[in-house]
Amino acid sequence: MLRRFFKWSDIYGIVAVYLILCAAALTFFNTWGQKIFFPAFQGENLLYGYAGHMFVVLAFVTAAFSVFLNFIRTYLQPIHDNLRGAAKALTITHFLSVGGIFLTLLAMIINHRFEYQYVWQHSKSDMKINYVLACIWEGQEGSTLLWLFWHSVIALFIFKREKEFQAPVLTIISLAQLFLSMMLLGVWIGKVHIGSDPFGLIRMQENNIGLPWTSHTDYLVNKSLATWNMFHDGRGLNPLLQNYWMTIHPPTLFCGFALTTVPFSYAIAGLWTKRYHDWQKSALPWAFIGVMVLGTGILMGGAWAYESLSFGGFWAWDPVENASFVPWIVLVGAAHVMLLYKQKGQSLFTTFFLCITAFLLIVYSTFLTKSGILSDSSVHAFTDDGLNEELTFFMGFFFWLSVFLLSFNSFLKISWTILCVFVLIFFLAGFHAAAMLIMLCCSLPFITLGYFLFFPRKNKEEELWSREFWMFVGSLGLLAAAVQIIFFTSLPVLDKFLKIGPIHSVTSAMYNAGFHPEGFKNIVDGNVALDKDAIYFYNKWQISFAIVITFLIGCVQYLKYVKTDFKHFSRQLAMPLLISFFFALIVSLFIYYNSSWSELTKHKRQIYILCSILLFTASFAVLANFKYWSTVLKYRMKSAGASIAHIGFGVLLLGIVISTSKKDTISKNTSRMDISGLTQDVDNLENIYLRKGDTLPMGDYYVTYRGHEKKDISGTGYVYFNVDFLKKEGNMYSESFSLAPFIQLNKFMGNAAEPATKHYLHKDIYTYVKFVEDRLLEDSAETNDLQSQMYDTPKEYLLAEHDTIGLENCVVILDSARVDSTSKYNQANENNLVAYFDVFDEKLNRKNLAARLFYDPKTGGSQRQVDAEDDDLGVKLTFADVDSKSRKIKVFASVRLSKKADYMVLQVSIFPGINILWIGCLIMVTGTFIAVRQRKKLNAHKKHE
Amino acid sequence: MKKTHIIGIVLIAIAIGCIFTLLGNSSTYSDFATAAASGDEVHVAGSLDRAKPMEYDAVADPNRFAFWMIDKKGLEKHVVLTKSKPQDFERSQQVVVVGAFKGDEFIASDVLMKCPSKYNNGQDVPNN
Repeated sequence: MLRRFFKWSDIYGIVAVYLILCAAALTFFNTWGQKIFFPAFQGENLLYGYAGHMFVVLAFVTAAFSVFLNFIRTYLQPIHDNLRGAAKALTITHFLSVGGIFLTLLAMIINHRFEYQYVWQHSKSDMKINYVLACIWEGQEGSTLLWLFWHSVIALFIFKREKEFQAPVLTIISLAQLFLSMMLLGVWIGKVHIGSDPFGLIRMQENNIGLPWTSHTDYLVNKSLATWNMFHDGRGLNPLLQNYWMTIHPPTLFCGFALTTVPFSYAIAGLWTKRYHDWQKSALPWAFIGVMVLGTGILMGGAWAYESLSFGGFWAWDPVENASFVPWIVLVGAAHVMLLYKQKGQSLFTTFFLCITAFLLIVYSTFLTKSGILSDSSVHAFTDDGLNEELTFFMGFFFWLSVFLLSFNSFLKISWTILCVFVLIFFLAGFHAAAMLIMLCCSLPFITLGYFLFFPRKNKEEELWSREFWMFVGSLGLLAAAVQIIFFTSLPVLDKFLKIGPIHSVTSAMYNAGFHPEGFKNIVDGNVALDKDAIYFYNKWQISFAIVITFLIGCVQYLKYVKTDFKHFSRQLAMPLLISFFFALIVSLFIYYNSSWSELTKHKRQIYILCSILLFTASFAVLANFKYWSTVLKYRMKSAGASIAHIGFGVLLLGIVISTSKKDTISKNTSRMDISGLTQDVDNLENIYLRKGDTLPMGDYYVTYRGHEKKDISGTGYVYFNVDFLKKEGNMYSESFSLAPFIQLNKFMGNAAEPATKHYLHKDIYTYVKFVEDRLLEDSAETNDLQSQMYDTPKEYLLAEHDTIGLENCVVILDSARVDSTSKYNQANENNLVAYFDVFDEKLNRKNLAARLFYDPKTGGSQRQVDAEDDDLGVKLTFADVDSKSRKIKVFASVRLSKKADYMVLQVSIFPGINILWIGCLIMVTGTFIAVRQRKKLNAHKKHE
Repeated sequence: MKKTHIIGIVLIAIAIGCIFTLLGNSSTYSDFATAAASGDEVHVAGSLDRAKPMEYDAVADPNRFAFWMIDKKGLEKHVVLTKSKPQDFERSQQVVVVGAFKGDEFIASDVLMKCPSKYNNGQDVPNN
C-alpha cells in the first residue's frame, strides 16, 4: 500500500531536490534577526529553531509550488495529466512539513526550551502533560498552525478521492495554505516584517533587541542575573485555558474552519473551469461534514463556557462567539441550497454565492478576533499583534478572486481587477479602512451585473407549494439571521469607516443641513455602539429568525418537489400543529405567564412572548419531522439523516429557550443602592455576600459557606470554597449537596474563578465566586504572620449610648461614656473621658472594653488616646472625639487582618432543562453524520453505475 | 412573484430593520463630558486611576463597586458599578464602562476590562 502511494516519478525527484535547495536558501534568508548562523549562548539549543524554520519555509515553498503546478494542471488535466506525480509529491511534502512544524513545537514544549519566546510565553516546567497540546494552540501562531494542519490533511483526502476537480481545488487550497504559512514566516524583507514566527529566540524578539542583557552569553544559566529568574521557567498556560476543553475545542473548531474551504474551493473551481454544474456532487458531502464539525466545535465552545468559564452561561453573544457562529449559519444555508440544486437544478447562483460567502466570513471572523479591532467590545478578543495586514491581504485576495469569477464577463473582470489594484495602492498608502470599504461597496455592482447580464440563468418559476421554493426561503432566512449578527458584531469596523475623512464630511454636511433623525449624531461621529443589553438585543432578533426557520423545518419535508397537493399537505400537518400548539400553550402558561408576569421588565416580557412562539414552532419542527420519519420513512435509519438532524435542531432550540429564559439567578441581594430611575431594565443585583458559617436563604435553598481550603496540584494553587446547599420543604430537608467553586491562582496572568455545578436530570445548579479578598488567597506563613499584626483601615462611627455597631467578627455596643475622675489616669494638666463598650463575639460571649480620650481641661482640645484593644477578638476601638451638640462620640473601629471574616461574594443560578439542550446537540450531530454517510454512499453508487 | 424579487425584498427589509434599530436602539461610545451633558446611556473607554482608592465593601453591599476612571480625553470621574468587583480589576490596562450619569457620578451597569496578560503577551521582561 505504501509503495502504491509513493509512486516515484522522475519529476518527483527533480522537484524534491529543487525544493530542498529552495528551503535551504530561504532558511539562510529567513533571519532570526539578521544573521544566518550565530553562536548559541550558554544553555540554548538552536537545533529546534533551525528545524522549525526549515519546516515553515518548506511548507511555504511547497504551498507556492503547489499553487503553480496545480494551476498549470488545471489547463492540462483534460488532455494529459503529466504533472500528477509532482503534484502528489508536493501535497505529501507539504503535509509532512506542516506536521514537522507541529512536532518541533511539541518537542520544544516537552523539553522546556524556555529560550524560545513561544515556549516561555505559553508553557511551564511543572505543567500537567495533558495541557501540552493546549500550549501549542494558545497563541496566535499555534492557532494558525492548526488551521494549516487541517488544510494539509484535507488536501491529502482531495488528492485521493477527487479526480475531475483535483487540480483546481488543490490550487485554491494551496493558495490558502500559502497565505497561512506566510503568517508563520517571520521574515524581514527590508523594513517589512511578514508573519510572526513561533520559533524565535526570546533574546531576538523585536522588543528585546538591543537591551543590555541580550549580550550576556550566560543570561540563561547565571543565577545572579535577573534574567535567570525571569527565564528559567515559563509563564505557563493561562489559567482560564487549563481545561480539557482547551485540548479538544480549538482543533475541532479549526477543523470546521478548514472544511469550509472545501465547498469554497469547489465553487471557485467550478466558476474557473466554467463547469458550473459538476462541482456540486463532490462538494455536497464536504459541505455537510463542515456543518457537522463546525457546529460541534461551536457547541463545544458553548459547553466550555458553561462548564468552566465564569461567563454565567453557555452563550453570551460575544463577538468572538458570533464570529464563528455566522459562517456556520451561512454554511448550513449553502448546504441546503446545494441539496436543492441537486434535486431540481435551481438556485445555481445562490450555491456559488453562499459557498463563497461562508469561507470569506471565516476569514473575516479571524480578522475580527485577531486584529484587535474588537478590543473595546469583547472581553476575550485578541489584541493586535501585528498580523493585521497579513490577514487583510488574505481576505482581500480571496475577495478579489471571488468577485472576479462571479463577474462572468471579461470586461467586468478586467475593470474589477483594475479597481482592486487602485484599492491596493490606497491600502498600501495607509488608508486601510477606506480601501476595504471601497472594495466591499464596489463588489456589489459587479456581482449584480455579472448575474443579470452574463450568468446562464433558468427563467422558470417555482410553484408556490413546492419544496424548493420554501427551502430557498428558509435558506434566505438563515442568510438574513447571519447578516443581522455580523452587521452588529462589525459595529467597531463600521465606526472606523465612519471616521474616514470624506465619509465624515458627507455625513456631517447632512447633519448640518438639518438631517437629524434619532441617533444620527452617533453615525456622524463614528461612535455607534451596540445596545447596552447586547444579549437581549440579539435574542430579540435571533428568536424571531428562529421562529420562521423552525416553522419551515417542520413543513418543508411534507412538500414535494415541483408541486404539492395542498389538502394532503395540510392534513398531514394538522396533528403536529395541534399537539405542539397545546404543548407550547401549557408550558408557557406554566413558566412564563404566572404570578410574576406583572413584575417583569418590558424587555423580559418581549423575550417571553417570543420564547413562547418559538416553543410552539420548535416543538412543531420536532413532531413533524418525527412523524415524517415514522410514517413516510417507516423508521428506516438509512435515509433518516435529515429528519433526525432537524429533530435534534428543534430539541436544541427547545433546550436553549427553556434553560435561558427561565435561568434564575437565586443569589439575589437586597440592594442598598438606589438605582431606580436610572434605567428601566437594570436587573443585575445578583450576587450575595456570604460569611464563613453563615446560612442564608436563597431561592428554595439554604446555603452555608463552610470555609475555604487551598490545594496544590502539580505546582498550581487552587483555592476551593466549600458551600453546602439544603432544601427545606415544610420541616423536611429534602436534598442536600455540596459544591466547591474554586479560584485558580496564577501570579502572572491573574487568578481565574471557575464554577461548580450540581447536575440533575431536569436542572443544573451553577455557582461561582464573584469576589474574594486577596488575603484569603494568600496563605503562606509569611503573610499569616503579617496579617496577625496588622489592622484593616479603621472605620468611623458616631455613637450615642447603647448604639450598636456590627463588625466583621463581633458586635460592639457603647455602654456609656463619661468623665473618669477617679482613676490613675487623671493628671493635673489633662482630664480623661472614658467610653465603656460591651463586645460580643460570634458565640455571644461578652467582654468589656474601655477606650480613653485625654483632653486639656483648660482649652478643651484633645491630646491623646488610649485604645481599647482585645487580642482574642483582634478588635481595636479608638475614642476619637466628642460631639457635644448631638451628645454622640466619634469612634474608629478596626479589625486585625487575621481575625477578619472569611467571606466571599457568590453567584448562584439555576438552569432548568439544560440537558435538553445537550441531548439536542447529540441528536443533531448524529443526524448530520447519518446524512453525510448516506450522501457519500449514493455518490459512490452512482459512480459504479 | 419571482424568486429574485423575494430575495431583494427580504434583504432590503432586513437592511432597513438593521438601520432603524441602529438609529433608535443603539448606544454610543462617548466620553465623560458628553455623557454628563446628555445623560444618555453610553460606553466610555478609559483607564483606571490607580492613585485614588477603589471602594468595595462586600459587607455593606456586594453589588456596589466604586472607582475613579480617566476617560480618553483626560477627564476623571467617579464611577459606581452595580455589580461585584471584577477579579483582578487592578491589573486592567483599559476599561470600558457602560451606563449613564446620575448627578456627578457615572453609574455603570457593566464593565469590560482588558488585562495586559490575559489575552496577549504582556511583556514583563527586565530591562537590564
